[in-house]
Amino acid sequence: MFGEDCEYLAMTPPDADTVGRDVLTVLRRVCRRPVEPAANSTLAADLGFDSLQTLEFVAELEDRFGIIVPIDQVPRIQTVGEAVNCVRSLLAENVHP
Amino acid sequence: MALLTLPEAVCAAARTGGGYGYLAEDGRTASRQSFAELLDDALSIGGGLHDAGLRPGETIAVIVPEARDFLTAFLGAACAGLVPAPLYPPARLDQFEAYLRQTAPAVRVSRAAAVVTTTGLRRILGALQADVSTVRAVLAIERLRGARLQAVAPVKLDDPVFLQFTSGSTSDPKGVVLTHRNLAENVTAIAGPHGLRLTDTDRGISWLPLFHDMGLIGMALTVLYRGCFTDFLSPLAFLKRPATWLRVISRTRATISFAPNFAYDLCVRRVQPRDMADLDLSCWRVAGCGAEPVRAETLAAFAKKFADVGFRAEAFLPSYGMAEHTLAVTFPPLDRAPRVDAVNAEQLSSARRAVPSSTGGAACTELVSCGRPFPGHDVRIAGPSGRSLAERHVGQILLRGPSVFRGYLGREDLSRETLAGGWLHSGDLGYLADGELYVCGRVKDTIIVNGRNYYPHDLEQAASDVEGVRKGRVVAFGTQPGTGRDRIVIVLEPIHGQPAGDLAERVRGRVIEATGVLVDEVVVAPSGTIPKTTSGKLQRVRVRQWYESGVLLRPRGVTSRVRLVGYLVRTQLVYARAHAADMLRGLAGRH
Repeated sequence: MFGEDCEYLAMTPPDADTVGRDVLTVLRRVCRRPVEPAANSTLAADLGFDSLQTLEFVAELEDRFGIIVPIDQVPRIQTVGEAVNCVRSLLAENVHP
Repeated sequence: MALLTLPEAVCAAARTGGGYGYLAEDGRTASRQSFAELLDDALSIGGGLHDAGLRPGETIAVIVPEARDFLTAFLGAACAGLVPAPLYPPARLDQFEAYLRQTAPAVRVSRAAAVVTTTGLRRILGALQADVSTVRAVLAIERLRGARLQAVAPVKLDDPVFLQFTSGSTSDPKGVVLTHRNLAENVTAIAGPHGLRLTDTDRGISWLPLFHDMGLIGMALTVLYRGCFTDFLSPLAFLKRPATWLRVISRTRATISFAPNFAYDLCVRRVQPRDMADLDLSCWRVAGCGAEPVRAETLAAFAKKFADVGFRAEAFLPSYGMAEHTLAVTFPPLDRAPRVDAVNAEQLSSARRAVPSSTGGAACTELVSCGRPFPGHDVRIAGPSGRSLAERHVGQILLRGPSVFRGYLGREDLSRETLAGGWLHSGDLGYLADGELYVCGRVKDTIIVNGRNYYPHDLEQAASDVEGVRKGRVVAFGTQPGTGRDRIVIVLEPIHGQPAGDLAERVRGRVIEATGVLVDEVVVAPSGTIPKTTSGKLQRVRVRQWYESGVLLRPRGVTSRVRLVGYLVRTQLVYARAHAADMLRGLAGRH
């Protein structure tokens, strides 16, 4: 289910900068064009994501961080900041089950 | 073989070894339901519907997201002699007002006596009871199981079996009335010797939504009538991880699966080498492709990528179908690699003739054969006058036979027009070559993205809500650059004198909010660009032609505004072209 890089699974909650930076790396890869997103950039209107790309982004985040984003939470990820927060809270759950 | 009504088919299926499997998001089996268990559950749902005061012949709207609950509710209604109308469930709970606005018209058109939904959605959908006068109750399926029906309802083959709302816009929904005979004829054709040749050992897998004709009829009901087995995966699970679909095929040794063209594209793009390590797709004997235009390059890329894991190009079954024809219209022969017709692109669009071309490149368009009609069914290609055209001449695809629907509910004029002269007017353009059908465009201005139909009117209405947009001067259309998918373009005029600012961005935001569709390009055009006519269709045709011919200049980028280069010269040119186009259309007749 997970990609190779699941190092976050065993870590204490990583500092905000690391998660944010890695989310942006994934975002740029899914975007396939140069973007400079801010925390409040919306995936759809600002970055031009359609619903398929949003789901691809979520799947890539799952692989990168070794988390599972429940499908009913996907619609709540509208902005870059919300994606970062979602990853952070899922990582925190993994560490403190 | 005698034709069965849907309730009779459920009873017959219960005596077979077949059934449905329901998969979790990761593709593992979550639950199984034999057709005997399904019949049992459907009878108690049917009893519950009668207990709730619903009577045979009445229509109920079914708004249920999960496959198992949906199928039980749908078949329970059928066993009780009711006419179910499957509708899209809300995608997001936090935008239910927009959802209710979009759904109420379809419920109204269906004259539903009740809405069947889930406990979770009932709170939201309760509002439909107040909005739609025919609705007497909004019922949760979890609380519907009542005194089991003693027997299924004695319906007749020519009674309505269900209503399909996959055709028509959300603001002007069209309810396609199908009879038990339509359904039985079409699924028998799909499963039979000129179709999939289904046997007891066949096994399906589908992630298609069940409120869509290809998912409901093509998979769930065909398998039910034939008494074999199919698994269901949620559409979102596939879209999130396309490899899950292929992994399930490999694990369950599935033989049959259908999907729109975009799904094969998605697999080519998104399935990683690590996902392919344990795949074995050699069991997959029919890889159906339908619900949107089939592209030769997609099929070739998919076959190439997955050849090493056992996929055979001969498994592809590019097909043509539509809701008004129950579902399937034409299939090619089984076990034949897709037949591709390379034709001269210029001749195809200007002279409407499919002239074989060997040049390749941009001057050539590759079309994929969708095969031949089923026995007892006819396809013909008609020119503007209605007369049949010779092979390789492009015209409207007309259909006749026992799968053709009865009409749109409550829309006699439209039904008469669509069924004029005893032929179903598909609204699609195509040609025949060696008796096989090639589909190459649409008479209607529907936009198809990822297998879903969007109606320009719905997008235009959403865009018009944005402050700063001039009412009545918004045009939405789909355009197909090269062989890519439909790009959605909106051209609009701002309120006179108001600078454009971030208007384009706000329009995109509003449209995605209201309709869920992402507009590829918003062109803010100078005042007077969009012709004033009472026909939205004519407006769209003209503006699309200008856009495609480059008259509406646009910079690169996802969202862009028209540049006012040589505005005066251009408007002169624009109107000269429009005039010429109108004259040509006048000569050509109604197309």
